[in-house]
Amino acid sequence: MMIALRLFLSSAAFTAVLGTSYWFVAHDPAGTVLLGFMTAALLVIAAYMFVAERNAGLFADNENAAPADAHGERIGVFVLHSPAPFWIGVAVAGLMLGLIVAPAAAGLGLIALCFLGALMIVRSR
Amino acid sequence: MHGPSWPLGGSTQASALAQDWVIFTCGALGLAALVWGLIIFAAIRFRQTKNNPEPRTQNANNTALEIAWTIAPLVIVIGLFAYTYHIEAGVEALAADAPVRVSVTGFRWGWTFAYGGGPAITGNSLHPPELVLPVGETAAVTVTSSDVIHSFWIPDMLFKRDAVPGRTSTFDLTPNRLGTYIGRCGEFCGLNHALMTFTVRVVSPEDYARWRTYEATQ
Amino acid sequence: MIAPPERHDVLSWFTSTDHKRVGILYMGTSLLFLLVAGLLAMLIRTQLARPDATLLGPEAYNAVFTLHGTAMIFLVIAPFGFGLANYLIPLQIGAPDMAFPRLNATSFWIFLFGGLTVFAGAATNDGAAASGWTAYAPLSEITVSAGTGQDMWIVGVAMVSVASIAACVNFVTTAFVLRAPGMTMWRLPIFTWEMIATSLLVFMAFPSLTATLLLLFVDRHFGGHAFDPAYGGSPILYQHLFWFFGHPEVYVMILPYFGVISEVIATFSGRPIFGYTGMVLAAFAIAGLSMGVWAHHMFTTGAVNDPFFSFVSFLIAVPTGIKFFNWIGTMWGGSIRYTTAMWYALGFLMNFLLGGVTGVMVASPPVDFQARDSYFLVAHFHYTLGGGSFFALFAAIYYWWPKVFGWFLDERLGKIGFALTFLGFNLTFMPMFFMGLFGMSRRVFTYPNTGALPGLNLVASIGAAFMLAGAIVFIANVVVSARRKVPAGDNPWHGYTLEWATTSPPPEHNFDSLPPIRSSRPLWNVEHPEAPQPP
Repeated sequence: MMIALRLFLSSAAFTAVLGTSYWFVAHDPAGTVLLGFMTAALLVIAAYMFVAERNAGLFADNENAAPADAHGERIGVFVLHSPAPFWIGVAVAGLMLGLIVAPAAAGLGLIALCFLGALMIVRSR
Repeated sequence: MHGPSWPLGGSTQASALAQDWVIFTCGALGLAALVWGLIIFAAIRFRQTKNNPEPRTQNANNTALEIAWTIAPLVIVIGLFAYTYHIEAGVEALAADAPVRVSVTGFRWGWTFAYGGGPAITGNSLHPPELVLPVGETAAVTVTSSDVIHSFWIPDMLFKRDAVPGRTSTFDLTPNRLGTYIGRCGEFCGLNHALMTFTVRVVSPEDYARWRTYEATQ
Repeated sequence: MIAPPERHDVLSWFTSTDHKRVGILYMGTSLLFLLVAGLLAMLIRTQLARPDATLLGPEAYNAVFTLHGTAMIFLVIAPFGFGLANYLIPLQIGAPDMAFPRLNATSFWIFLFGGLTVFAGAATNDGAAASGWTAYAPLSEITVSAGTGQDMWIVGVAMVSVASIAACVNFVTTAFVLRAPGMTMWRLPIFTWEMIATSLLVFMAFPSLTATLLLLFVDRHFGGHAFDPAYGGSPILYQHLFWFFGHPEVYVMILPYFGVISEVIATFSGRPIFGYTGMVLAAFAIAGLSMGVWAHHMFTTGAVNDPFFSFVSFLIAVPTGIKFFNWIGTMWGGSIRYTTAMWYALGFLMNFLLGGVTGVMVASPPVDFQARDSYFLVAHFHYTLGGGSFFALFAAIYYWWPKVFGWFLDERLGKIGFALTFLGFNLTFMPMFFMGLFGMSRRVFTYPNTGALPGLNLVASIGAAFMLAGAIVFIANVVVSARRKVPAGDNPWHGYTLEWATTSPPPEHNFDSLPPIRSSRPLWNVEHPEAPQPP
């Protein structure tokens, strides 16, 4: 995980340099803001990785690990089938098309979206 | 007026631009020929045959080589940048006191050429307008648009500048060759973008003066 | 735990969250969009074969090239890469599935509905969007493009944008967290690394696209004036926001395919990829630098700092060159087997090289002053995305098809198809460099019957006919091979990465057992226990 952390930190450092030099060379607010947001986003991700994953101790990162070492490790719930993704797609499409065609459809889509999202969260407990 | 073919040039800026084209084309094709050659050589030399049934080696590292092919291209592109910067600075330089001033406005789908202290020539795809310029004298051209983005492009002179609504942009054009050159719109602007042509007629300074006098009476 | 038996009914494809199914859905859908976008291209080339042709008037033509570009970029090249990543990443890292299977499937359905929405614009009164895939303001504003088709375009692309971000969240999380024991980051296959770099680009660039589309929509329907100069807005702002997304997007469209080429060349040369570390670092160098070049699409506006963007654009050539040398180095000293996939990889190398060096050319503003928005530029980006990504896409199809379906695509038909496509591609796009230099604008529905343009355009259109023939041969290949179903076995190409360590097709949970992982080529270590690490 340290590699991942280093990846995000070095990317943030790079874009900070890029953004700073861009401002001093071009004095363009639009591009500078965009690069600034990018740096901030990378730092946020890096911060999360540092706080949440620094003690991850993955078997994957152990060069000499054998597959059997991870036997019995609970890595999560892998759902193979779920109706939610398709209907969430429909709801999103309804929401977006509703913005063009009819706000009512957008409202319905939004409600459907919230319902499906809640359903997915509840069923994964 | 010759049809679309090898650009004629026709301005001092175009000479510099053409030089840049030549340098970069030779560089690009030269580099491409080298790498194509390596690819084709490797593709043929190391194909699987009775004499080459297995790879000769599983060695996949050569740090010295990798450093070399990082440093060398870096040096080359820095050199190319320095050259480009020099050429562009020359092309985009603005004369302090240009004898001719033209304000170009693009619209859907034609052009208006408004000469400083002179006539305004308008035309569209049915009757393309003509920009008359004196040879050997610098024209300060300012482009803008009255609706969507267009682009003032003279292919023979290797140059275009976008005509953006709400802002103006100025460049110098110093024709150095008599003749008539086709101009096109270089930014998609809708239905008749393909038909938004104009012409640039470069005449002697005397003919230009006569044309200005004539236009003043219109 | 006993898993329920794998379902194969039609309905199961609508509810499946298995990364392999989602990958197949993505790739199959993008190939269908490719068919449509390709037919649109045939329309374009038929119209442009002769000057002053009347097959398509300007209204229809403008919608045709808008849909062609939008589809190829948003609905074909990038999504096929996402689909391939979906299928391959868990297999290459030894995981049973993606980290977020339901999010994964959701991203596919949103992508599908977004793509259909874009095309549904063609059924509206004023037709589909017709302001180009770039939809510059003010051309795309409500005052100029009043039709609903433009709104459908905005909304559809926004959906694809959101779906792409969701897909890439999965790729990165899965690659970081679900690697099998011993699969350290520095043992990941190059394809997986390229997808990590691609995902970072998507995270950084696509939000700008979504924001730009939102601003455009607000301008059009809610009284916004972000891009309207009459109210203090700026068309240049649109271009900054759009290209901040738009340039990284082209790297999103090439990095996965760099990964494909690395895998294909390594396997068929029988050697490890040369300069593994350099390849990985170059991928991130390209990704990082690509975030700083966006305004090289704006050199002709006179509104941006040309030297900054020119310099960074030149710099990108360096890591790209490193990759090229590494690919040649992989072939060097190998024993190259010329399967169809390897032919497509070779075609990629030959084509993308020209695309790349012409990219260095247009990174020079003086060249760009002529080339921008001319057919020179059309040639450049088709050589990189067509000659590059598209060829690598077919290399990927021929390479991984046996793994996905368990049977081979016919090799002889494949090579015939390659030859037709390679010939057709170069016939079509090589003349365009000259067309542009000679003064032909892009996005034009016709051109005058003078000079060299009629001849060059005719050659280009003949090339397109060859590419069509290549496409027909491919479809015939699929049909013929599906009937024969020549079984492929676990590892038909003698590859060394983990996806070849399971059956073809893999079981639902991917691996019944994993080999110990001691390098970036685990199956090499299994085959050669006496050589603990490849040199």
